Amino acid sequence: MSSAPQRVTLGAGPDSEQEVSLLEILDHVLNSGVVIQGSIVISLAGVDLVYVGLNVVLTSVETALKSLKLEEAGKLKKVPRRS
Amino acid sequence: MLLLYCMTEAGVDSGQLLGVQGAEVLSSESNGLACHFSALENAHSKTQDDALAFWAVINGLFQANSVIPFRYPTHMADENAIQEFFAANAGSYLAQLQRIRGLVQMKITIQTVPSTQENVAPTSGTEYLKQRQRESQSASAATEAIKSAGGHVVHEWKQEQRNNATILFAMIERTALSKFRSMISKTENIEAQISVSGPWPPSEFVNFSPELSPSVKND
Repeated sequence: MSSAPQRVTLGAGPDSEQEVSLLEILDHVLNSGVVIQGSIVISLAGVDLVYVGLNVVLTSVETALKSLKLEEAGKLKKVPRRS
Repeated sequence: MLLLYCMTEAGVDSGQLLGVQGAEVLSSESNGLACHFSALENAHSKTQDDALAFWAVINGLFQANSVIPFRYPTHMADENAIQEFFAANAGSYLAQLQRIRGLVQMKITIQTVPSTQENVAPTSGTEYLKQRQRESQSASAATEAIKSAGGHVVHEWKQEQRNNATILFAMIERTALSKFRSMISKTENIEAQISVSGPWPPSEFVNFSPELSPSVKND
């Protein structure tokens, strides 16, 4: 049976075995793992509003809808692009 | 909202683990597979502690099982969505879980170390290119030496270049961990800094992209 991941630096002496760093764990969590491919169509009142291609992670449709509603209500201002 | 941790073969108990934000870790099983997840009240909070708790669940399950982790954060709306996901992807997941059964991933980072005379910045373009060439040759030599040293116990290698470092991923039997570490540590005459970390779930060797149903309507 294995234990938690360890890191060994070669040539750094016999006591070089240590726990993996926080950075390495975060790198593993955020950059490894299965990514679900897919797409969603967000629609309100039967009208398709937004097509979102997903190739990283599934984020909340609720948040997207919330943003849309805020935008419709003029509460969320679009930042003008620089020319 | 559900936060998905990983997939395992059916029958893996995750009940004793504590999930992200202290949530219970639940499992949904179908078609010989289990999906481990937590129902989160605040699914949009993504702190460092959340990411570490996510890793703790995966690592806890990985200690005695083969796991295919989801990338953090992967959400699904409810258990029905998980069941639909099972129906569409169970075959691929089972094939991958069988392929990685009993195997773990080791990560070897190879970083070239400039020699003492190269500690000063190059004064010309030619000098710079020559320095880069020497570093590249050192990295290639170290990569080959590592591959050759661990060759007997490694099922599969993967290699990538990241931020001036060569990263090697080795998929090995869980039972061969100490043998692998010992073989790698005996590698000599390497002009590069080598660090070996693991065991990790063999995510780099899972070669498929599961799909959702074509569209989800939210009326």
